[in-house]
Amino acid sequence: MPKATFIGDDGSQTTLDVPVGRSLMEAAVFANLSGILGECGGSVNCATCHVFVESAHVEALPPISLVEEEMLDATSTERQPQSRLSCQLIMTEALDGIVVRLPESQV
Amino acid sequence: MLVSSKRVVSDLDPFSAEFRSDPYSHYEKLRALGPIVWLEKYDIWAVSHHDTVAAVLNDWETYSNAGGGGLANYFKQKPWRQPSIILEVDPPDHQRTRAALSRALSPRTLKAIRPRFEDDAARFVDAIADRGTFDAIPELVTPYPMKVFPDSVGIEADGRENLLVYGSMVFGSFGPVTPWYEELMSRSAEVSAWILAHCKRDAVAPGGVGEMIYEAVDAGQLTEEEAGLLIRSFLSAGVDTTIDSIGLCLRALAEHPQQWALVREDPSLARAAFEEATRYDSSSQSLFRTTTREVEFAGSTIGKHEKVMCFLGSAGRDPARWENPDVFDIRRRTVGQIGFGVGIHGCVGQMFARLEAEVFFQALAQRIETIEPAGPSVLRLNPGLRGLTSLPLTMTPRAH
Repeated sequence: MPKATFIGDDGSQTTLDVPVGRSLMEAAVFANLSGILGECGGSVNCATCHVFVESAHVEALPPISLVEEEMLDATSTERQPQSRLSCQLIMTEALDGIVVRLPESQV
Repeated sequence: MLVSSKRVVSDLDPFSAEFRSDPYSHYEKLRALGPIVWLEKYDIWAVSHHDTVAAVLNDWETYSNAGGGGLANYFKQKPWRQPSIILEVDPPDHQRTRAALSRALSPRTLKAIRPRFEDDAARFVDAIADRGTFDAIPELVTPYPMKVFPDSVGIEADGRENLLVYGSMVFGSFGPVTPWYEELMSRSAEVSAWILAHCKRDAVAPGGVGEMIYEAVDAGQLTEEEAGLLIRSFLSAGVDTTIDSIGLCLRALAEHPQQWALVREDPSLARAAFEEATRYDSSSQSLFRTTTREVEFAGSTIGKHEKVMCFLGSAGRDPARWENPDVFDIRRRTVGQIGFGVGIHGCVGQMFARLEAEVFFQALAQRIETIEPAGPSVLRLNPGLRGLTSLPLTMTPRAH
Protein backbone atom coordinates (compact mmCIF):
# COMPACT_ATOMS: atom_id res chain seq x y z
CA MET A 1 0.00 0.00 0.00
CA PRO A 2 1.34 3.51 -0.78
CA LYS A 3 2.73 5.46 2.13
CA ALA A 4 2.59 9.11 3.13
CA THR A 5 4.75 10.83 5.74
CA PHE A 6 3.49 13.74 7.81
CA ILE A 7 5.97 16.02 9.57
CA GLY A 8 4.39 17.87 12.46
CA ASP A 9 5.09 21.50 13.28
CA ASP A 10 7.19 20.15 16.17
CA GLY A 11 9.26 17.99 13.80
CA SER A 12 7.65 14.66 14.71
CA GLN A 13 7.27 12.27 11.77
CA THR A 14 4.42 9.86 11.16
CA THR A 15 4.25 7.51 8.20
CA LEU A 16 0.84 6.09 7.30
CA ASP A 17 -0.37 3.49 4.84
CA VAL A 18 -2.88 5.27 2.62
CA PRO A 19 -5.05 3.20 0.28
CA VAL A 20 -5.24 4.40 -3.33
CA GLY A 21 -8.27 6.65 -3.64
CA ARG A 22 -8.19 7.94 -0.07
CA SER A 23 -7.22 11.54 0.64
CA LEU A 24 -4.24 12.42 2.81
CA MET A 25 -6.60 14.45 4.98
CA GLU A 26 -8.78 11.41 5.68
CA ALA A 27 -5.77 9.22 6.35
CA ALA A 28 -4.38 11.74 8.84
CA VAL A 29 -7.69 12.34 10.58
CA PHE A 30 -8.43 8.64 10.95
CA ALA A 31 -4.98 8.11 12.40
CA ASN A 32 -5.77 10.83 14.97
CA LEU A 33 -2.85 12.90 13.79
CA SER A 34 -2.89 16.29 15.43
CA GLY A 35 -2.32 19.25 13.13
CA ILE A 36 -4.90 18.34 10.50
CA LEU A 37 -8.54 19.06 11.28
CA GLY A 38 -10.48 18.52 8.05
CA GLU A 39 -13.59 19.97 9.64
CA CYS A 40 -15.65 20.20 6.46
CA GLY A 41 -15.05 16.57 5.63
CA GLY A 42 -13.29 17.22 2.34
CA SER A 43 -15.53 19.77 0.62
CA VAL A 44 -12.78 22.39 0.12
CA ASN A 45 -14.69 24.49 2.54
CA CYS A 46 -12.64 25.03 5.64
CA ALA A 47 -8.92 25.09 4.76
CA THR A 48 -8.10 23.22 7.98
CA CYS A 49 -6.17 20.44 6.23
CA HIS A 50 -3.47 22.73 4.86
CA VAL A 51 -0.10 21.03 4.24
CA PHE A 52 3.22 21.84 2.57
CA VAL A 53 4.30 19.19 0.08
CA GLU A 54 7.99 18.59 0.81
CA SER A 55 8.82 15.70 -1.50
CA ALA A 56 9.42 15.87 -5.25
CA HIS A 57 5.92 14.77 -6.21
CA VAL A 58 4.87 17.99 -7.88
CA GLU A 59 4.28 16.34 -11.28
CA ALA A 60 2.07 13.68 -9.76
CA LEU A 61 -0.13 16.07 -7.78
CA PRO A 62 -3.62 16.84 -9.05
CA PRO A 63 -4.08 20.40 -10.35
CA ILE A 64 -5.28 23.09 -7.94
CA SER A 65 -8.95 23.93 -8.56
CA LEU A 66 -10.24 27.49 -8.47
CA VAL A 67 -11.86 27.00 -5.07
CA GLU A 68 -8.76 25.37 -3.57
CA GLU A 69 -6.74 28.26 -4.99
CA GLU A 70 -8.91 30.79 -3.13
CA MET A 71 -8.86 28.80 0.09
CA LEU A 72 -5.09 28.47 -0.05
CA ASP A 73 -4.87 32.24 -0.28
CA ALA A 74 -6.68 32.55 3.01
CA THR A 75 -5.29 29.80 5.22
CA SER A 76 -4.55 30.38 8.88
CA THR A 77 -0.82 29.82 8.34
CA GLU A 78 0.58 31.80 5.42
CA ARG A 79 0.57 30.04 2.07
CA GLN A 80 3.85 28.89 0.56
CA PRO A 81 4.58 27.72 -3.00
CA GLN A 82 4.21 24.07 -1.94
CA SER A 83 0.92 24.62 -0.07
CA ARG A 84 -2.02 22.28 -0.76
CA LEU A 85 -5.23 21.24 0.94
CA SER A 86 -4.67 17.61 1.81
CA CYS A 87 -8.33 16.71 1.21
CA GLN A 88 -7.53 17.27 -2.46
CA LEU A 89 -4.45 15.02 -2.40
CA ILE A 90 -5.96 11.66 -3.30
CA MET A 91 -3.46 8.83 -2.97
CA THR A 92 -2.25 7.18 -6.19
CA GLU A 93 0.62 4.77 -6.86
CA ALA A 94 2.54 7.74 -8.24
CA LEU A 95 2.20 9.58 -4.90
CA ASP A 96 3.70 6.69 -2.90
CA GLY A 97 6.27 8.10 -0.50
CA ILE A 98 4.88 11.63 -0.48
CA VAL A 99 6.09 13.79 2.41
CA VAL A 100 4.04 16.69 3.72
CA ARG A 101 4.78 19.16 6.49
CA LEU A 102 2.01 20.50 8.71
CA PRO A 103 1.55 24.22 9.33
CA GLU A 104 1.77 25.95 12.68
CA SER A 105 -2.00 26.44 12.87
CA GLN A 106 -5.14 25.48 10.94
CA VAL A 107 -7.70 27.84 12.49
CA MET B 1 -41.25 -1.78 -16.11
CA LEU B 2 -40.08 -4.15 -13.46
CA VAL B 3 -38.12 -1.55 -11.55
CA SER B 4 -41.14 0.41 -10.43
CA SER B 5 -42.40 -2.62 -8.53
CA LYS B 6 -39.28 -2.45 -6.37
CA ARG B 7 -40.08 1.03 -5.16
CA VAL B 8 -40.50 1.17 -1.41
CA VAL B 9 -43.35 3.54 -0.60
CA SER B 10 -44.06 5.31 2.68
CA ASP B 11 -46.88 7.59 3.78
CA LEU B 12 -44.66 9.50 6.24
CA ASP B 13 -45.03 13.28 5.99
CA PRO B 14 -41.67 14.88 6.83
CA PHE B 15 -43.29 18.32 7.06
CA SER B 16 -46.01 17.34 9.52
CA ALA B 17 -45.85 18.76 13.03
CA GLU B 18 -45.82 15.20 14.36
CA PHE B 19 -42.77 14.22 12.30
CA ARG B 20 -40.87 17.39 13.05
CA SER B 21 -41.48 17.36 16.76
CA ASP B 22 -39.85 13.93 16.96
CA PRO B 23 -37.88 13.42 13.76
CA TYR B 24 -35.46 10.85 15.13
CA SER B 25 -38.00 8.09 15.74
CA HIS B 26 -39.36 8.70 12.26
CA TYR B 27 -35.87 8.54 10.77
CA GLU B 28 -35.44 5.15 12.37
CA LYS B 29 -38.54 3.95 10.53
CA LEU B 30 -37.34 5.47 7.27
CA ARG B 31 -33.89 3.91 7.54
CA ALA B 32 -35.46 0.51 8.23
CA LEU B 33 -37.48 0.76 5.01
CA GLY B 34 -34.36 0.72 2.86
CA PRO B 35 -31.73 2.88 1.17
CA ILE B 36 -34.25 4.96 -0.78
CA VAL B 37 -37.95 5.44 -0.13
CA TRP B 38 -40.75 7.06 -2.11
CA LEU B 39 -42.79 9.52 -0.01
CA GLU B 40 -46.18 9.37 -1.67
CA LYS B 41 -47.61 12.40 0.05
CA TYR B 42 -45.29 14.69 -1.95
CA ASP B 43 -44.13 12.41 -4.78
CA ILE B 44 -40.52 12.68 -3.74
CA TRP B 45 -37.69 10.28 -2.95
CA ALA B 46 -35.99 10.21 0.44
CA VAL B 47 -32.56 9.00 1.56
CA SER B 48 -31.81 8.75 5.25
CA HIS B 49 -28.57 6.78 5.78
CA HIS B 50 -25.19 8.45 6.17
CA ASP B 51 -23.76 6.72 3.11
CA THR B 52 -26.69 7.37 0.79
CA VAL B 53 -27.10 11.01 1.86
CA ALA B 54 -23.38 11.63 1.32
CA ALA B 55 -23.48 9.81 -2.04
CA VAL B 56 -26.29 12.04 -3.31
CA LEU B 57 -24.75 15.27 -2.03
CA ASN B 58 -21.34 14.43 -3.49
CA ASP B 59 -22.71 13.77 -7.00
CA TRP B 60 -23.81 17.24 -8.09
CA GLU B 61 -23.85 16.27 -11.77
CA THR B 62 -26.70 13.84 -11.17
CA TYR B 63 -28.28 15.42 -8.09
CA SER B 64 -28.35 19.09 -8.90
CA ASN B 65 -29.11 22.00 -6.62
CA ALA B 66 -30.23 24.15 -9.54
CA GLY B 67 -33.64 22.52 -9.10
CA GLY B 68 -33.94 24.23 -5.72
CA GLY B 69 -32.88 23.20 -2.23
CA GLY B 70 -36.46 22.74 -1.07
CA LEU B 71 -39.58 20.86 -2.06
CA ALA B 72 -40.36 23.19 -4.96
CA ASN B 73 -38.97 21.94 -8.28
CA TYR B 74 -37.30 24.82 -10.12
CA PHE B 75 -36.92 22.63 -13.19
CA LYS B 76 -40.70 22.65 -13.42
CA GLN B 77 -41.93 25.79 -11.65
CA LYS B 78 -40.86 29.39 -11.18
CA PRO B 79 -38.79 30.16 -8.05
CA TRP B 80 -40.17 32.65 -5.50
CA ARG B 81 -37.12 34.86 -5.91
CA GLN B 82 -34.18 35.21 -8.28
CA PRO B 83 -32.23 32.01 -7.55
CA SER B 84 -29.09 32.20 -5.45
CA ILE B 85 -25.98 32.39 -7.61
CA ILE B 86 -24.06 30.13 -5.26
CA LEU B 87 -26.57 27.69 -3.79
CA GLU B 88 -29.01 27.16 -6.63
CA VAL B 89 -26.46 26.84 -9.40
CA ASP B 90 -24.07 24.11 -10.56
CA PRO B 91 -20.50 24.27 -11.87
CA PRO B 92 -18.92 25.87 -13.80
CA ASP B 93 -20.74 29.06 -12.71
CA HIS B 94 -20.77 27.90 -9.13
CA GLN B 95 -16.99 27.66 -8.78
CA ARG B 96 -16.31 31.35 -9.21
CA THR B 97 -18.95 32.57 -6.78
CA ARG B 98 -18.08 29.86 -4.30
CA ALA B 99 -14.41 30.82 -4.43
CA ALA B 100 -15.19 34.45 -3.66
CA LEU B 101 -17.41 33.55 -0.72
CA SER B 102 -15.07 30.88 0.63
CA ARG B 103 -12.29 33.38 0.76
CA ALA B 104 -14.43 35.91 2.60
CA LEU B 105 -15.30 33.22 5.17
CA SER B 106 -11.84 31.67 5.45
CA PRO B 107 -9.65 30.94 8.48
CA ARG B 108 -7.65 34.09 7.78
CA THR B 109 -10.72 36.37 7.90
CA LEU B 110 -12.06 34.59 10.94
CA LYS B 111 -8.82 34.87 12.85
CA ALA B 112 -9.08 38.65 12.50
CA ILE B 113 -12.74 38.69 13.55
CA ARG B 114 -12.36 36.40 16.56
CA PRO B 115 -11.45 39.02 19.20
CA ARG B 116 -14.62 40.99 18.45
CA PHE B 117 -16.72 37.84 18.78
CA GLU B 118 -15.07 37.18 22.14
CA ASP B 119 -15.88 40.65 23.45
CA ASP B 120 -19.49 40.40 22.34
CA ALA B 121 -19.95 36.87 23.68
CA ALA B 122 -18.53 37.86 27.07
CA ARG B 123 -20.91 40.80 27.26
CA PHE B 124 -24.01 38.76 26.41
CA VAL B 125 -23.06 36.05 28.90
CA ASP B 126 -22.33 38.63 31.61
CA ALA B 127 -25.78 40.07 31.12
CA ILE B 128 -27.49 36.78 32.06
CA ALA B 129 -24.93 35.26 34.42
CA ASP B 130 -26.80 36.22 37.58
CA ARG B 131 -30.32 35.96 36.21
CA GLY B 132 -31.05 32.49 37.58
CA THR B 133 -33.98 31.24 35.50
CA PHE B 134 -34.68 32.82 32.13
CA ASP B 135 -35.59 32.00 28.54
CA ALA B 136 -32.27 31.50 26.82
CA ILE B 137 -33.50 31.82 23.22
CA PRO B 138 -34.74 35.44 23.26
CA GLU B 139 -32.39 36.62 25.99
CA LEU B 140 -29.08 35.01 25.13
CA VAL B 141 -29.00 32.82 22.02
CA THR B 142 -30.72 35.20 19.58
CA PRO B 143 -29.05 38.50 20.49
CA TYR B 144 -25.50 37.16 20.02
CA PRO B 145 -25.62 36.10 16.34
CA MET B 146 -27.87 39.09 15.64
CA LYS B 147 -25.00 41.27 16.82
CA VAL B 148 -21.85 39.56 15.62
CA PHE B 149 -23.02 38.35 12.23
CA PRO B 150 -24.41 41.56 10.72
CA ASP B 151 -21.54 43.46 12.37
CA SER B 152 -19.09 41.22 10.51
CA VAL B 153 -20.85 41.63 7.18
CA GLY B 154 -21.15 45.38 7.73
CA ILE B 155 -24.92 45.84 8.07
CA GLU B 156 -26.27 48.84 9.95
CA ALA B 157 -27.89 48.28 13.33
CA ASP B 158 -31.35 49.62 12.41
CA GLY B 159 -33.86 47.16 11.01
CA ARG B 160 -31.91 43.99 11.65
CA GLU B 161 -35.11 42.19 12.64
CA ASN B 162 -35.69 41.99 8.88
CA LEU B 163 -32.90 39.41 8.77
CA LEU B 164 -34.95 37.02 10.89
CA VAL B 165 -38.08 37.49 8.82
CA TYR B 166 -36.15 37.04 5.59
CA GLY B 167 -34.42 33.94 6.93
CA SER B 168 -37.83 32.49 7.81
CA MET B 169 -38.96 33.08 4.23
CA VAL B 170 -35.85 31.51 2.72
CA PHE B 171 -36.11 28.39 4.86
CA GLY B 172 -39.91 28.41 4.84
CA SER B 173 -39.75 28.04 1.08
CA PHE B 174 -38.13 24.61 1.60
CA GLY B 175 -41.48 23.10 2.54
CA PRO B 176 -44.98 22.87 1.10
CA VAL B 177 -47.10 25.98 0.65
CA THR B 178 -49.22 26.24 3.79
CA PRO B 179 -51.34 29.00 5.33
CA TRP B 180 -48.38 29.71 7.66
CA TYR B 181 -46.08 30.19 4.66
CA GLU B 182 -48.58 32.34 2.75
CA GLU B 183 -49.01 34.58 5.78
CA LEU B 184 -45.25 34.90 6.13
CA MET B 185 -44.81 35.68 2.44
CA SER B 186 -47.38 38.48 2.60
CA ARG B 187 -44.46 40.62 3.79
CA SER B 188 -42.10 39.33 1.11
CA ALA B 189 -41.92 42.48 -1.03
CA GLU B 190 -41.16 44.83 1.84
CA VAL B 191 -38.61 42.57 3.57
CA SER B 192 -36.87 41.57 0.32
CA ALA B 193 -36.54 45.25 -0.56
CA TRP B 194 -34.83 45.96 2.77
CA ILE B 195 -32.45 43.03 2.25
CA LEU B 196 -31.56 44.01 -1.32
CA ALA B 197 -30.95 47.62 -0.29
CA HIS B 198 -28.53 46.42 2.38
CA CYS B 199 -26.61 44.27 -0.10
CA LYS B 200 -25.53 47.27 -2.14
CA ARG B 201 -21.96 48.54 -2.18
CA ASP B 202 -22.72 51.82 -0.46
CA ALA B 203 -24.76 50.07 2.24
CA VAL B 204 -22.03 47.77 3.59
CA ALA B 205 -19.71 49.24 6.19
CA PRO B 206 -15.96 49.40 5.53
CA GLY B 207 -13.83 46.63 6.98
CA GLY B 208 -16.51 43.95 6.82
CA VAL B 209 -17.03 40.79 4.83
CA GLY B 210 -19.45 42.66 2.57
CA GLU B 211 -16.71 45.00 1.53
CA MET B 212 -14.45 42.00 0.78
CA ILE B 213 -17.04 40.78 -1.72
CA TYR B 214 -17.03 44.15 -3.46
CA GLU B 215 -13.22 44.00 -3.54
CA ALA B 216 -13.64 40.85 -5.66
CA VAL B 217 -15.67 43.01 -8.06
CA ASP B 218 -12.87 45.56 -8.20
CA ALA B 219 -10.43 42.73 -8.90
CA GLY B 220 -12.55 41.65 -11.85
CA GLN B 221 -13.68 38.35 -10.29
CA LEU B 222 -17.38 39.18 -9.89
CA THR B 223 -19.87 41.62 -11.35
CA GLU B 224 -21.51 44.27 -9.17
CA GLU B 225 -24.82 42.42 -9.38
CA GLU B 226 -23.21 39.12 -8.38
CA ALA B 227 -21.64 40.74 -5.34
CA GLY B 228 -25.04 41.96 -4.20
CA LEU B 229 -26.53 38.49 -4.64
CA LEU B 230 -23.67 36.88 -2.70
CA ILE B 231 -24.20 39.25 0.18
CA ARG B 232 -27.87 38.33 -0.01
CA SER B 233 -26.73 34.73 0.49
CA PHE B 234 -24.97 35.73 3.72
CA LEU B 235 -28.06 37.51 4.91
CA SER B 236 -30.33 34.61 3.92
CA ALA B 237 -28.45 31.86 5.61
CA GLY B 238 -26.23 33.41 8.24
CA VAL B 239 -28.48 34.35 11.12
CA ASP B 240 -31.35 31.91 11.73
CA THR B 241 -29.06 28.98 11.13
CA THR B 242 -26.58 29.93 13.84
CA ILE B 243 -29.28 30.96 16.30
CA ASP B 244 -30.89 27.55 15.82
CA SER B 245 -27.61 25.62 15.94
CA ILE B 246 -26.36 27.36 19.08
CA GLY B 247 -29.79 26.97 20.69
CA LEU B 248 -29.90 23.24 20.00
CA CYS B 249 -26.35 22.79 21.26
CA LEU B 250 -27.17 24.71 24.43
CA ARG B 251 -30.21 22.50 25.00
CA ALA B 252 -28.13 19.36 24.50
CA LEU B 253 -25.59 20.61 27.05
CA ALA B 254 -28.32 21.54 29.53
CA GLU B 255 -29.84 18.08 29.17
CA HIS B 256 -26.45 16.37 29.58
CA PRO B 257 -24.87 17.96 32.66
CA GLN B 258 -21.82 15.70 32.55
CA GLN B 259 -21.06 16.90 29.04
CA TRP B 260 -21.47 20.51 30.14
CA ALA B 261 -19.09 19.83 33.03
CA LEU B 262 -16.46 18.73 30.51
CA VAL B 263 -16.74 22.02 28.62
CA ARG B 264 -16.74 24.04 31.82
CA GLU B 265 -13.58 22.33 33.04
CA ASP B 266 -11.87 22.56 29.65
CA PRO B 267 -13.32 25.35 27.48
CA SER B 268 -11.14 24.20 24.57
CA LEU B 269 -13.79 21.47 24.15
CA ALA B 270 -16.35 24.09 23.11
CA ARG B 271 -15.69 23.57 19.42
CA ALA B 272 -15.97 19.80 19.76
CA ALA B 273 -19.24 20.21 21.68
CA PHE B 274 -20.71 22.24 18.85
CA GLU B 275 -19.51 19.75 16.26
CA GLU B 276 -21.11 16.89 18.14
CA ALA B 277 -24.32 18.90 18.54
CA THR B 278 -24.35 19.39 14.77
CA ARG B 279 -24.26 15.63 14.32
CA TYR B 280 -26.69 14.95 17.16
CA ASP B 281 -29.29 17.61 16.43
CA SER B 282 -28.49 19.73 13.38
CA SER B 283 -30.46 22.87 12.61
CA SER B 284 -30.48 21.62 9.01
CA GLN B 285 -32.37 18.37 9.17
CA SER B 286 -33.05 17.94 5.48
CA LEU B 287 -32.53 19.43 2.06
CA PHE B 288 -33.33 18.48 -1.48
CA ARG B 289 -31.57 17.71 -4.72
CA THR B 290 -33.20 17.32 -8.13
CA THR B 291 -32.05 14.74 -10.66
CA THR B 292 -30.69 15.92 -13.99
CA ARG B 293 -31.23 12.50 -15.61
CA GLU B 294 -32.78 9.10 -14.97
CA VAL B 295 -30.55 7.23 -12.55
CA GLU B 296 -30.37 3.85 -10.82
CA PHE B 297 -29.98 4.22 -7.09
CA ALA B 298 -29.71 1.22 -4.76
CA GLY B 299 -32.08 -0.85 -6.88
CA SER B 300 -34.63 1.89 -7.61
CA THR B 301 -34.95 3.96 -10.76
CA ILE B 302 -35.19 7.67 -10.13
CA GLY B 303 -36.65 9.58 -13.07
CA LYS B 304 -35.24 12.77 -14.55
CA HIS B 305 -36.12 16.01 -12.72
CA GLU B 306 -37.36 14.23 -9.60
CA LYS B 307 -36.79 15.52 -6.10
CA VAL B 308 -34.65 13.62 -3.61
CA MET B 309 -34.97 14.62 0.04
CA CYS B 310 -31.73 14.10 1.94
CA PHE B 311 -32.07 13.73 5.70
CA LEU B 312 -28.88 15.14 7.20
CA GLY B 313 -30.40 14.75 10.66
CA SER B 314 -30.92 11.05 10.07
CA ALA B 315 -27.40 10.57 8.68
CA GLY B 316 -26.10 11.86 12.01
CA ARG B 317 -28.04 9.15 13.85
CA ASP B 318 -27.31 6.28 11.46
CA PRO B 319 -26.01 3.34 13.53
CA ALA B 320 -24.19 2.03 10.45
CA ARG B 321 -21.93 5.09 10.67
CA TRP B 322 -21.98 6.08 14.36
CA GLU B 323 -21.51 4.07 17.49
CA ASN B 324 -24.33 4.75 19.98
CA PRO B 325 -25.72 7.42 17.64
CA ASP B 326 -28.37 8.62 20.08
CA VAL B 327 -25.78 9.42 22.75
CA PHE B 328 -24.56 13.05 22.95
CA ASP B 329 -20.84 12.64 23.53
CA ILE B 330 -18.65 15.67 22.91
CA ARG B 331 -15.49 13.55 22.99
CA ARG B 332 -16.69 11.50 20.05
CA ARG B 333 -14.62 11.61 16.85
CA THR B 334 -17.07 13.59 14.70
CA VAL B 335 -14.99 13.99 11.57
CA GLY B 336 -17.18 13.13 8.61
CA GLN B 337 -20.41 14.31 10.24
CA ILE B 338 -22.55 16.00 7.59
CA GLY B 339 -24.79 18.27 9.63
CA PHE B 340 -23.47 21.17 7.55
CA GLY B 341 -24.04 19.20 4.35
CA VAL B 342 -21.17 17.98 2.21
CA GLY B 343 -19.91 18.41 -1.33
CA ILE B 344 -19.85 21.55 -3.44
CA HIS B 345 -22.95 22.95 -1.75
CA GLY B 346 -21.84 22.16 1.78
CA CYS B 347 -22.50 25.12 4.07
CA VAL B 348 -20.15 27.87 2.91
CA GLY B 349 -20.48 29.63 6.25
CA GLN B 350 -19.66 26.59 8.35
CA MET B 351 -16.35 28.00 9.59
CA PHE B 352 -18.11 31.19 10.57
CA ALA B 353 -20.73 29.17 12.45
CA ARG B 354 -18.09 27.09 14.21
CA LEU B 355 -16.26 30.19 15.32
CA GLU B 356 -19.41 31.91 16.57
CA ALA B 357 -20.40 28.83 18.54
CA GLU B 358 -16.94 28.04 19.87
CA VAL B 359 -16.52 31.56 21.20
CA PHE B 360 -20.05 31.55 22.67
CA PHE B 361 -19.66 28.29 24.57
CA GLN B 362 -16.18 29.25 25.77
CA ALA B 363 -17.58 32.47 27.18
CA LEU B 364 -20.32 30.49 28.87
CA ALA B 365 -17.82 28.01 30.30
CA GLN B 366 -15.78 30.82 31.81
CA ARG B 367 -18.73 32.43 33.55
CA ILE B 368 -21.33 29.73 34.26
CA GLU B 369 -21.16 26.79 36.66
CA THR B 370 -24.38 24.86 36.06
CA ILE B 371 -27.02 24.87 33.31
CA GLU B 372 -30.29 23.06 33.88
CA PRO B 373 -33.56 22.88 31.96
CA ALA B 374 -36.26 24.90 33.73
CA GLY B 375 -39.23 23.77 31.67
CA PRO B 376 -40.08 22.34 28.28
CA SER B 377 -38.43 23.93 25.26
CA VAL B 378 -40.53 24.94 22.27
CA LEU B 379 -39.65 24.06 18.67
CA ARG B 380 -39.67 26.64 15.91
CA LEU B 381 -41.98 25.77 13.06
CA ASN B 382 -40.02 26.29 9.91
CA PRO B 383 -39.84 23.50 7.32
CA GLY B 384 -36.26 24.30 6.35
CA LEU B 385 -34.72 24.64 9.79
CA ARG B 386 -34.90 23.00 13.18
CA GLY B 387 -34.56 25.34 16.09
CA LEU B 388 -36.16 26.59 19.28
CA THR B 389 -38.28 29.61 20.09
CA SER B 390 -38.06 29.02 23.80
CA LEU B 391 -35.53 27.30 26.07
CA PRO B 392 -36.14 27.98 29.76
CA LEU B 393 -32.93 27.37 31.68
CA THR B 394 -31.58 27.89 35.17
CA MET B 395 -27.93 28.92 35.29
CA THR B 396 -25.67 29.48 38.25
CA PRO B 397 -22.56 31.64 37.88
CA ARG B 398 -19.09 30.35 38.63
CA ALA B 399 -17.53 31.49 41.89
CA HIS B 400 -14.94 34.16 41.24
